[in-house]
Amino acid sequence: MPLLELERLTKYFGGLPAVNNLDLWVEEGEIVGLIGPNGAGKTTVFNLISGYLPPTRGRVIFKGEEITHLKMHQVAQKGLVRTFQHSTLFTELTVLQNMLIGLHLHARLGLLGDVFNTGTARSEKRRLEEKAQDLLESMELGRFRDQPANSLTHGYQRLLGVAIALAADPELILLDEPATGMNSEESKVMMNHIRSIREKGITVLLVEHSMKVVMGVCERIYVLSYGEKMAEGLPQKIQRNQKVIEAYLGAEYAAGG
Amino acid sequence: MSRNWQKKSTISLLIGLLLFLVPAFVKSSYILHVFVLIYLAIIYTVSLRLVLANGLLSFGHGAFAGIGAYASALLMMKVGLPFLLSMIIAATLSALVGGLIAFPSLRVRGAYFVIFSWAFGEVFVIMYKRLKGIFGGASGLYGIPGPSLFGMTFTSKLAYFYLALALMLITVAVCYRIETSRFGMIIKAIGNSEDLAESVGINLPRYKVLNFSLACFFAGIAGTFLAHYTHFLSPEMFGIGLSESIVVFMLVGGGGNILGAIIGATILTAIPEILAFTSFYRMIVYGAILILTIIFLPGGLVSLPQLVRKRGAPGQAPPSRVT
Repeated sequence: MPLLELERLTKYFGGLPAVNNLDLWVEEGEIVGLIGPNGAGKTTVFNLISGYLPPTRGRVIFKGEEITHLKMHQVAQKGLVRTFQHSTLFTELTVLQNMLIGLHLHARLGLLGDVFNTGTARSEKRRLEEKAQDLLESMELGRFRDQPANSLTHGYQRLLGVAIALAADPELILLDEPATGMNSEESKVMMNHIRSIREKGITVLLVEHSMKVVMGVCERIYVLSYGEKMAEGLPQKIQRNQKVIEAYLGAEYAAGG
Repeated sequence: MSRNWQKKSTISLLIGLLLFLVPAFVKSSYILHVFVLIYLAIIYTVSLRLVLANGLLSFGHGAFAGIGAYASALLMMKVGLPFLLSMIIAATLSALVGGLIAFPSLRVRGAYFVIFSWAFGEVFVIMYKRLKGIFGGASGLYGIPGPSLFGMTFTSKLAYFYLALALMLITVAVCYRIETSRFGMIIKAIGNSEDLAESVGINLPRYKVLNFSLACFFAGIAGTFLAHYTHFLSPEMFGIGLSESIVVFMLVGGGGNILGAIIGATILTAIPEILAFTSFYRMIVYGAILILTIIFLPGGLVSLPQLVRKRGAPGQAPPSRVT
């Protein structure tokens, strides 16, 4: 049984199909890429899976259970967490506080104990802080813990975005263009992190524009075009697929990239 | 606990104690009255900050004070409940109505929420006016009994002064605790990015509604006190005039900081009282002060010392003017 399965998933925006009859599956432990030209509907797919948008038709099945009509916070509770395309962070909070919010589903705190800071609440807050600190260290963000999140450079902001999602302790993480706007050095760092995420036993589904990143980390790739699946398979196979080259890779690869 | 925290709590404790000593030096019952008004303004403003922390600006906060005021007045007059009980029930009612209103309205953001909250407040004003039998209509509700606590009935200004002071200190302490709690951090996180907060499993409606209800509870407490203090309620007391004043207190003082809310409420309540503006001129002056603050002092009065320090530093360019 695949970890995630999409069955004929469809989303119309005012009569136009953004995603059309998409069948897709992700096995536990895989790193799968979802690519396609701009406007192909990749982010819409993420929005449908994560419960940010309701689909027009079709089903989303996670761990054998239908999650099609759950809200985003309920999907997160099931163990499926996504990141966002733009650097979406809690900008007025510190880096550590961003992580503490990421740990929301693991906090065992009552409102009264929290507000009046009782002994048990204090020790729970300490436990969460240690966990947040550990996660920051593992993403090499430890030294920024007390800085406001929006003071980080772009590359570190992207990393923090991934770290927040990881704090929720997901079984499947959806990464929406994690390496966007990164130089090649930063991209390499991000690729290493993506690999180590999988080593922790977390399955990865990834939308990404940088072909270096996609071909470098993904074991299997789906190609979307105009909301429909155009091709799927191993990276080597996708790179040689004539239709894909024409529709998407063309310019970049013909130029020797 | 950190040193900074110790320093802060010592200073707050000292100020609290000093306020208890005010009546020893001030004999004028008018001045004590101004103090009472300031305390109420602080309760309104500090509680509205909870809503602002969530990224929302409410122009209906006065209406929730009104719900507390009318409910408590009627509970004492018609049902005969003791003061403390009617105060708690009335404030809880404010919180419940706040929650009910919040549930659908929190789907709208920004300017839409401002308009919604304003409209909501006006609906209550109209209701008090129309339902003469219950709320006394446009001419108001008269003969509201004063509070009595532990068998003592309030007759002197002094008793009211201490009750208002106690309510204010409790509200400030609880709101400060909320702000520094994990709950407060979640509320702020939601204000920063709802999508990201929801993506890590935060149930947005639950937190937003609870937070709005808490703010309304404290507004209700202040309204309750007002009813038993003035012994008279009229619909306009809780209209847009009050709601707007609270917003102005908060933004002029500095919405980013609880101290700013206290400073704004204190100064903007004291000055018009002392200069004896009529309420018509007061709204014009408030409007002008608000615009000037937003242009020249976006961080509010509380950011003034920092700004002065910056400007005084040598070799620094003057801050660019906002155009």
